[in-house]
Amino acid sequence: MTDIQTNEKLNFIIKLKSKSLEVIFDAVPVGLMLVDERFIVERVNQFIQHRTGKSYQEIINTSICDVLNCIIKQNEEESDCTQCTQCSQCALKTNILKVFQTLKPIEEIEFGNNNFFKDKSLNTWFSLTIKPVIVDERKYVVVCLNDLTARKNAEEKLAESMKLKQQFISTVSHELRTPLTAIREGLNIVLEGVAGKLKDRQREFLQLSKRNVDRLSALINDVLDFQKLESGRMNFNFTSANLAETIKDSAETMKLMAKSHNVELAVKIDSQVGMAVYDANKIIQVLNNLLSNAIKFTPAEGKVMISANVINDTVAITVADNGMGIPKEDLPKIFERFYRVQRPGKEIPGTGLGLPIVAQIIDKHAGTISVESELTKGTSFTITLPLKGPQEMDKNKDEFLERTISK
Amino acid sequence: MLGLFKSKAKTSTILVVDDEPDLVSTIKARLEWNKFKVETASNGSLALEKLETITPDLILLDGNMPVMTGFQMLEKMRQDSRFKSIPVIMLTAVCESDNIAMAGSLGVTEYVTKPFEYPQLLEKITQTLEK
Repeated sequence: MTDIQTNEKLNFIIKLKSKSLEVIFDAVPVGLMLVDERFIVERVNQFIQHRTGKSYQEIINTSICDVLNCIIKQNEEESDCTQCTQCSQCALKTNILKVFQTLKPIEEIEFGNNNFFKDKSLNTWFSLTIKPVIVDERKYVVVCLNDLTARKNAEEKLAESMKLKQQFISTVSHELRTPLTAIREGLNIVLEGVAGKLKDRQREFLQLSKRNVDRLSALINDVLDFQKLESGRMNFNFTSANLAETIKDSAETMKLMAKSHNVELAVKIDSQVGMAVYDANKIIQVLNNLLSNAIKFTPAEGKVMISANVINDTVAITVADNGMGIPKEDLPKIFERFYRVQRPGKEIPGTGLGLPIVAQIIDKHAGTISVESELTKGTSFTITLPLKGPQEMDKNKDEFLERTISK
Repeated sequence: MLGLFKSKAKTSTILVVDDEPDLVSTIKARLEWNKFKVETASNGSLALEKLETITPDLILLDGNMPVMTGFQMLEKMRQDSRFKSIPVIMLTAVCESDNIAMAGSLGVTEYVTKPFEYPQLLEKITQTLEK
């Protein structure tokens, strides 16, 4: 082959390639523009033309701000882009400038603004990605416009259905509670002999009914509590109170259960434990729950101990038992909702919501909860609470509870 | 409990006003077991009619009822010199905080939040009657 032939062949290939590149450039479902340092658009693909409703001639060699109808300028009559006083605050301009200065790309800045596009009735969402490029030793940026509307709509729908789900659970639980209260009260009346004397066999089966109605009530209350905590509708009443008294109250309440399980319940509160800022009802709920778990999972003649002491400006409360323990692989999951540790051959009643509720309540107190356990040796849960209560927690920040899981 | 019956010569009459018949019949059974005389009404309007014929020592009043709510009935009652001084215990759902504030301005200080345990209600009744 001669040199001329080779050159012709190369030119042909280059032409073909650039032609097909042009076609691909126009076909991508993403808006693409090549913009120079004066914000002038040098190349534009069809996506931008379609969405802005502007022709190729109208776009080329004009400012990108004009092409995208300027984010700040609200109506057509206002002066051109670069003329108005707010131009320096424009997110589009400042980001392009930043990319030219730093030569580092900026990815996926999200905009929810329908000013950009022809059909203003659409609630359009999109993201801008700006990448620096060099063409013939000149600096440019490639501005990519990605339509996020479908994703945003899906997110909106998801949020809506989550809300509906929560409302549904809450309504159903409330509706269940009313008849359940009547059933419970009816059983109580008969069991207490208000409606006449009972035979032993009758009492036995009514007590069975009552046990199960109580279990159902506890489940519904847990579901409602959890729902309220999750949706932030649970009200907390932080006041200054004596924590030692609260711990004693809880232990006193749980003594009966310990006795019926033939488990010893010991209380050991350091004399330094006293006044603290917390929601007493909620902390009683937490302690009752931990104690009830400890008693449930400890065989007869076992021992449960609740102890408390002050470390710096926090108080640590530990509920320890010498019961069956939690398998290592289950430990990380026990704070998950509806998670129940499998106990072969042993059916221990529970809702699977107790510990998630406990964790959420402690979280709202800006406290921590941790667990240590060894199979057949026992389990101990420790909660810590700041003595001064939650200090102006950042409500927007999803502060997740620190859970130290060891052993 | 016993102290109450010793100090009161006659049996106290309690008017239970609630639109849930099952709740009313359980409360009625309990109160009668505790030797109270019980009258019932299923809404505020019917309760006001009842007040024309009997004068209870205490009214247990549900907040939310059809035809006439407990709060509306309370307002009417307090305007009538005959019923002004009858003590009232409101039976309310937790979410009615605005109405509770209004009832407070009409002199109601005792509340029992639904669902309640009977001993808790009985304690409130005893306390109110002893005043």
